[in-house]
Amino acid sequence: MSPATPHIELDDWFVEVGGQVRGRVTLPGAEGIDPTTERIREVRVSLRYETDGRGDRDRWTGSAQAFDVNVDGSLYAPFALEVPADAPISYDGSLFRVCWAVDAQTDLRTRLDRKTSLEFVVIPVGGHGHYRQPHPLPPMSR
Amino acid sequence: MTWDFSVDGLTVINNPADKLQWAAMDDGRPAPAPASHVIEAKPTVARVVVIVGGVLAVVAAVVGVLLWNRGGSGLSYLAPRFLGVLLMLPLLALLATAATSRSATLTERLTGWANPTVEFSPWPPRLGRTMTAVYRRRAISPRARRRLQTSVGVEAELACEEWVQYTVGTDTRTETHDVVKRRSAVAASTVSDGLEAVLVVTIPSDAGGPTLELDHNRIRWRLDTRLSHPSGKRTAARVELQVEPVLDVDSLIGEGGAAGGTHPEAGS
Repeated sequence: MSPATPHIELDDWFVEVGGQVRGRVTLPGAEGIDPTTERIREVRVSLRYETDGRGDRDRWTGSAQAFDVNVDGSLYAPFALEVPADAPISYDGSLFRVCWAVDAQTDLRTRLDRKTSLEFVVIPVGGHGHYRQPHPLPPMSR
Repeated sequence: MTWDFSVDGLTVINNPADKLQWAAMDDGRPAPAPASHVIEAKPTVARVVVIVGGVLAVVAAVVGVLLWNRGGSGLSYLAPRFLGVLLMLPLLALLATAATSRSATLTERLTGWANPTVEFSPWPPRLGRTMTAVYRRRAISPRARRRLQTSVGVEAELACEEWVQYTVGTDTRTETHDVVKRRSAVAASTVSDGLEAVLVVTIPSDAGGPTLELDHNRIRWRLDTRLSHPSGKRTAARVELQVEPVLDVDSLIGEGGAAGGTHPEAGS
């Protein structure tokens, strides 16, 4: 993995609609980066959902939180992003799915940006510890 | 239009579906909502009835026009014209029906029954929530009132439909699939000028999902009802439910899990 590729960790795979996705975005540091050609401007973290299936794709991307990296190119930044209360919950149906993900993107000068995505599950309000269907599996095991 | 405001620690939310709910602000979880909500069901007509009726009316109208244009004199001139007008009437009636198809009065007149109302309690619909739905319908024609003398039941079907729209070349197509279909039937009791039946409606938490309205992907819930007698198809009516993305935890605890559903018969 390139040292400019961000890494995402989440506190919980399951987030209630209207709640917050909490986690950390990290970069290992400047080792291996050529500072003249691959200088990191910032790392942006945002939420996204999109549909997948028979129908045309519907997608939404939330506003991004931006983080400045350290002088050596490393980063350890906790983030908290809101899942809108009127947004759809994760869904796995017959004709389509609704998938949520956290995107982290490293903005590199004169290079293509590096991007990482991590899926998580949006559940109904009050669903923590109870809601098992229809999107029962955490993203890691899919 | 959507608005919300806070009163003494409670948030009042009004959304486009005209739902009113009370949400406690301390833990972010909705508190008890208004006890009940009454919805007037919209009548539905079988598509095949409309198509067959429309084709027959058009054929009759064409014959009528041909008869109207026949020549002749005296009675041989008037009789075909009179018959032609008679044959054109069904098409005119059908066009008038189509033009006023949303008119409850016309539909009620055709069926002999007022549009039913369904009172849901508790309200609003949530995942895993079991609601009592009181179905009320007034008989407005003598024939419908006579029907009340016999035993009449109410059939209901709760369905969750996925709806998608996709593009193939320049064509836009839609596809639907019912992911939940649960039927039940109950006996109705006669009240002063109509009938009343109590249905139990459970929104499952393990199938379907909350109501979803995206541009190309949707989830809709509906409760289809009809009277259970030989011409009951004409009394079919539909209530669309806006299911909130809230899990009714109290119902789940009462049922011992997230299974949901207490209906005597479950469909596909």
